[in-house]
Amino acid sequence: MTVPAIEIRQLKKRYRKVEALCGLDLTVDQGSVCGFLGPNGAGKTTTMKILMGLIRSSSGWAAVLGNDVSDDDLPARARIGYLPQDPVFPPSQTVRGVVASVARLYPGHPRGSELRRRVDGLIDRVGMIDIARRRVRGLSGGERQRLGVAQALVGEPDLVILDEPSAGLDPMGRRDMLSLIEEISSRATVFYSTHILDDVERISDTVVMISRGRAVAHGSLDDILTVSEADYTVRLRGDTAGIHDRLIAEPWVGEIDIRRRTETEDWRIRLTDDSVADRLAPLLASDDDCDVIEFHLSDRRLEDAYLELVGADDGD
Amino acid sequence: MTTEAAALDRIERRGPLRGFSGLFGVELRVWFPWRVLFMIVAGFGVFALIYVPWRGFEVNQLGPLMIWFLVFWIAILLMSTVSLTEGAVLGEIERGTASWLVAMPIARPAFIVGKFVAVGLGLAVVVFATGLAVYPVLADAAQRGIIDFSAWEVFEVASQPIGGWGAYTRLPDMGAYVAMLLSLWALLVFLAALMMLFGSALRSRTAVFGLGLGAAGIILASGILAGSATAATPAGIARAIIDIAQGKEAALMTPVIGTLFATGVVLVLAVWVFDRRDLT
Repeated sequence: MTVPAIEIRQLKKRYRKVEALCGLDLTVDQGSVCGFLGPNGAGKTTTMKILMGLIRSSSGWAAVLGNDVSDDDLPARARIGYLPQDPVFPPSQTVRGVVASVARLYPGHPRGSELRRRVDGLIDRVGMIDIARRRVRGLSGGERQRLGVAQALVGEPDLVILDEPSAGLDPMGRRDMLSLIEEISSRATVFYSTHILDDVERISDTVVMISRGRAVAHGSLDDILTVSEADYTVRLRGDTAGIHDRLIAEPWVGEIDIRRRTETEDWRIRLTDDSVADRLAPLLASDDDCDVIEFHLSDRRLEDAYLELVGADDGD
Repeated sequence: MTTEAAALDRIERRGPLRGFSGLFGVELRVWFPWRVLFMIVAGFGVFALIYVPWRGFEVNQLGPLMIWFLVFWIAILLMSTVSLTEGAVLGEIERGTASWLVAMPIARPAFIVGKFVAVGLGLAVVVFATGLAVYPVLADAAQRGIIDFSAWEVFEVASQPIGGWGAYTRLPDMGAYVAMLLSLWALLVFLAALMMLFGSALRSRTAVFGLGLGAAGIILASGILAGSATAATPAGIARAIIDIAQGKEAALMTPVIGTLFATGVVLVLAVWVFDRRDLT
């Protein structure tokens, strides 16, 4: 049985009066692409910094690739690549110089022409080979971000931790970054934080949502997007007043959201009890004043799940 | 054992200085050549400022020349060391480069020690390059007197020595002079270690800079004023250098050993504090 790439139990971090993490639990399996979501200040960067040994937890336990992070286990850290939020590199160094400097910090790094080959291969992989001799001070935000990914990959890591890799990128830069993450995921576990939910839906297989320092949702993307049997979307045409009155009179109907279109209405009906879901369709069909054009379980996008789970935790 | 396992085993065995050579290389590029060159030029500038006004004096001025040169040079070196090292640790933490580096497979102590050794090497080049370049000029002055020249006749002065020496101040011989430079370097290295400690412990660069300047001022002033009471401290080095410049006998061994010991203690403290610091 393989150890999880990341395992966190009851992790707490307090900065003076602010509790950044209050009992966070999460597990990221090896080989997965895990999106780490949460509002600003939820504790995402703090969690990542604890995993990288940059800050110490107040209590709790965290392990990366089976190694307790509090042990400051450097051989384990050699198997992790990290892209910090807003990466900063020496401004006078060239793109090639930065990647080569980082490569030399890893144990057993190649030397001479072999090092050059590996460095140039990585720079090419992130699409910067044409500007390999450009100094960091002359790079755009997107180029710095890509350079950050290149240096994170230089040790050929088993786990890549990326703190908001798409932040500040234009649409093309974002698309390239997602392609890069997809490519990385073929050979390493990827744990990345982001606010862009569409990106998570596109490339992640696992999602962790965090709010106020603790996980509010954690699981596969499919599980999180699956809604219960108690949430239906219906499209109706005709006079809907009667059926509306009959529905809200039923004790097992919770709420009905109505969106009116030109000739039809879209209703989202939430039931209080999914065991009585089979009564809904016959009830709708029994009304002669309107026609049921569509009837299905509601689709849920990640944004809906996020707003529902994180919003509920924020008391919205 | 596979290549990868052997490599991981190697970083295990390197202990608390894992990653030192890489970080040392990075920091060396920060100091060489520009910072070192700047400090050397500053030293020559101080020498020129002190030497040129003395041109009108006829005899026996080597002592004051050396004393003033050394006092101002030490002051400039101390201030340069403070201003060039105040951001070495805290600046990197604030910019985020410390997090970037420490996230790699390197030991935190290597971050401080790598910087310290690079700074020490840079300061050694500064002290010896400036000090040894100035020595022939001082030796010439010791033999021929301080050259008297008009600013308008600057090209004539080399061939027109004036004045006799009477009971002139003796220039330290080369061995004593080099020992003096070595002790000056030890003093600067102590200050650099102190700056590493301040940078590791504090959260404001202004505070680091202020404390560094304060420490430099106290070292210099107590060296000048406190005399033998500071013999085994860094201030004792400043005192001994001034004594040597005046042609007096001065024991450098005690203050140098005391300073190197203090440097070690301060460096260990800096490493300990940095090791426990959150890099937020």
